[in-house]
Amino acid sequence: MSKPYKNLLSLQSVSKHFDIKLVNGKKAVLKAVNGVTFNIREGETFGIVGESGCGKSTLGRLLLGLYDLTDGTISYQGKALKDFNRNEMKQFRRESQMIFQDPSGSLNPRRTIKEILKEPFKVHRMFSEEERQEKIDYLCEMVGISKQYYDRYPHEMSGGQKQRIGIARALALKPKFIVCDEPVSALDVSIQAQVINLLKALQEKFELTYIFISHNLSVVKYVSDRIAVMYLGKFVELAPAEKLYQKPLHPYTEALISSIPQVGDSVKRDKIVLEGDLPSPVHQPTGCKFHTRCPKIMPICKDKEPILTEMEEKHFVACHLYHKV
Amino acid sequence: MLQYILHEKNTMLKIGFIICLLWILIAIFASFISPFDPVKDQNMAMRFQPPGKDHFFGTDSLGRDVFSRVLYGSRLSLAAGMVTVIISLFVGIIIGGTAGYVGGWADEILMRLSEMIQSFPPLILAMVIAAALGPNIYNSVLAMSMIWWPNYARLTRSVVISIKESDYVTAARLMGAGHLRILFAEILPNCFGSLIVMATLDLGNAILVFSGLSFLGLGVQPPVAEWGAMVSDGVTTFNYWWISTFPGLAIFSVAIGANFIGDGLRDYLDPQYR
Repeated sequence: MSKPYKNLLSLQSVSKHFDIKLVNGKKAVLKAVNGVTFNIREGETFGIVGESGCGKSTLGRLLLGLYDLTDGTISYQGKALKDFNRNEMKQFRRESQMIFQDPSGSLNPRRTIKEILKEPFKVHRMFSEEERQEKIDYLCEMVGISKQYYDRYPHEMSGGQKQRIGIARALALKPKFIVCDEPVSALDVSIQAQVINLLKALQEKFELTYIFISHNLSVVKYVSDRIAVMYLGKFVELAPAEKLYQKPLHPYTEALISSIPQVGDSVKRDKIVLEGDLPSPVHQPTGCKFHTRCPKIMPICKDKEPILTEMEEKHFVACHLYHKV
Repeated sequence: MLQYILHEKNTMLKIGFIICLLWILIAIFASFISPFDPVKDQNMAMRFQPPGKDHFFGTDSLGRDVFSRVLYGSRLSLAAGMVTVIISLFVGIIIGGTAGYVGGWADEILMRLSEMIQSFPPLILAMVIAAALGPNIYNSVLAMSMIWWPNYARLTRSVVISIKESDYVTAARLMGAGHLRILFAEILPNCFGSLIVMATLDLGNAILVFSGLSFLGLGVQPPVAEWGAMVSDGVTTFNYWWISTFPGLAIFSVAIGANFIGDGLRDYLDPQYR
C-alpha cells in the first residue's frame, strides 16, 4: 500500500438528483447522491458500504458515466467526463467496466457464452475471428470457465459460473477500473469466497482498480484498501479499511460494524440496534441526515449539517461529536 | 433451423411445416396440377355439379371447377396474407422499437397514432383506405398493412421498454455499443419469439380480411380465383355446400399450419424452451 498513488478518478461535490412522480401524481426530487467528494487512486480497491437505497449503486454508475450529473464534476485521469469527445469517450468505455449484482440479468438470455464474450471485440471492431477466439480462450482460462460451456446459454449455467462469465466480459477490453456493484451478494456463501478470491487475483495480475460496492461489511473489509460509509447520498466516514473496523468514529459506522455476525463467543460485543428505517431520499431530514436514528444525538445535529473532515490521518468523518473538540 | 425441424421431437411444428410447404408447392405448380382452367373453363351445362370423379370439389354457379379454383386461389391468398404480415411486422418493429427505446415525446406521438388506427374496426378502415386508393390487389394489401402494424408496434414497444433497463443492456452500453446495435442486437431478438407467434396467428386473419375486401369488390376482381371471394360466392347458393366449404377448408388449413409453425418457432427461438 506504500506505492505512490496516482488519482485515477476524482469527484468534486458530485450530486445526482432524479425527478420522480409520487403515487399521488405530484412531482418530487429524489436526491440519490448529494455532494460527494473523493479520489480513487490507481490500483486500489475502494469500498463503498451502506444500506439499500443510500445511493451507492447510483454513485457507481455515475463513475461509469451512465448518468448525467446534476452537479459537480467527475474527472478521469485529470479530465472531466463531460468534456470527453467521441474518441475519448470510446477510450473511456474500454477502460471502465462493471460487474453486476445479478449474474443472470447481466447476460443476454439469447446469446451463447461464446457470443457474449466476443461481443466487446465486435463492438470495437477489434481482431480477426481467430484472434477473438484466442482471446476468449484466455479469458475463460483466467476466470475458470472450461471450453465445454462455450455453446451453452446463460440459463444452463449456475450463478457462480454466470458471474465468472460476467467478469470475463468485463476484462475483455483490458479495463483500468471496474465498478463491482454487489458482485457476490446474489451468490451462495461458498461461491462468494471463490469469486472474491478470483477478483483479487485478477486485480493483481491486470493491475486493476476496483470500486467495490456492497452492503456486506465482512466482504468489503476483506477486499478493500479504503472504505467509504454512505448514508442518504453522502459519505459519513472514509478511512483505510483496518482503521475503520478497529476504530469507527461515526455512530452509524459503529452501529454497522457492531452488527457483523461474529463466530464464537470470545468477543461478545454489544450490538447497537438502530431505531427506525432509512429516511426517504425524497424528504430528507434537516441538519445531519442521520440525526433521526442517531443514539448520540445532540441539539446541533438537527440544524447544522456536519462536513466530512480529516480527524485522524487519512480518516475522515462527518459528525458533530468530533467537530466541537 | 431445417435440421431442428427435421430432428426435434416437435410433431406440431412438423405438421405445420408440411401443411405450409404443401400449400406453397401447390401455389407454385397450380398450373400443372389443376385439371381445368380456373377462369376460362366455364360450362353453364355443368353448373352446380356435386363433388365427383370429374370435378373433385364440384362446380360453381358458372360451371367452373372448384378444385382448380382452390388450387389457383392459393397463389393470391397466400401471397396477400404473407405480404401484409411481413410489411406490418417490418413497420411495427421499427415504429414500436423507436417508441420504446427513445421514449418521451416520440413514444407519445407514435403510440397515439397507433391507437388512432386501432380505434377503428379493421375491416372498415381497410375498406376506406382501399376505396380511396382505388380497388386492386396491391392497394388492398397496402391498406391491410396500414391497419395491421399497430399490433406489432405495441408488442415490440412493451418488450423493448421492459428490456432496455436490464443489466445486459447496461453492459452493452458500457462496452461502447451504439444505440442501433443495442436495439437490434441486444433488445429486439428478445421479442422475435412473440412477434413470430403473433404473425403466424395473423396470417390466417389477414387472408380472411383480404377475402372480405374481395367480397366487397375492393380486392380481387372477378373472375380471378381467390379463396375469400369463392367463400362469399357460395353464400348466396346455400344448397350447394361444396362451393364455400372447400375454399373455407383451404383457409382453415393454412391458418392451422401457420399457427403450428408459429408455436414451434417460438420454442426454437427461445433457448429456454429448448
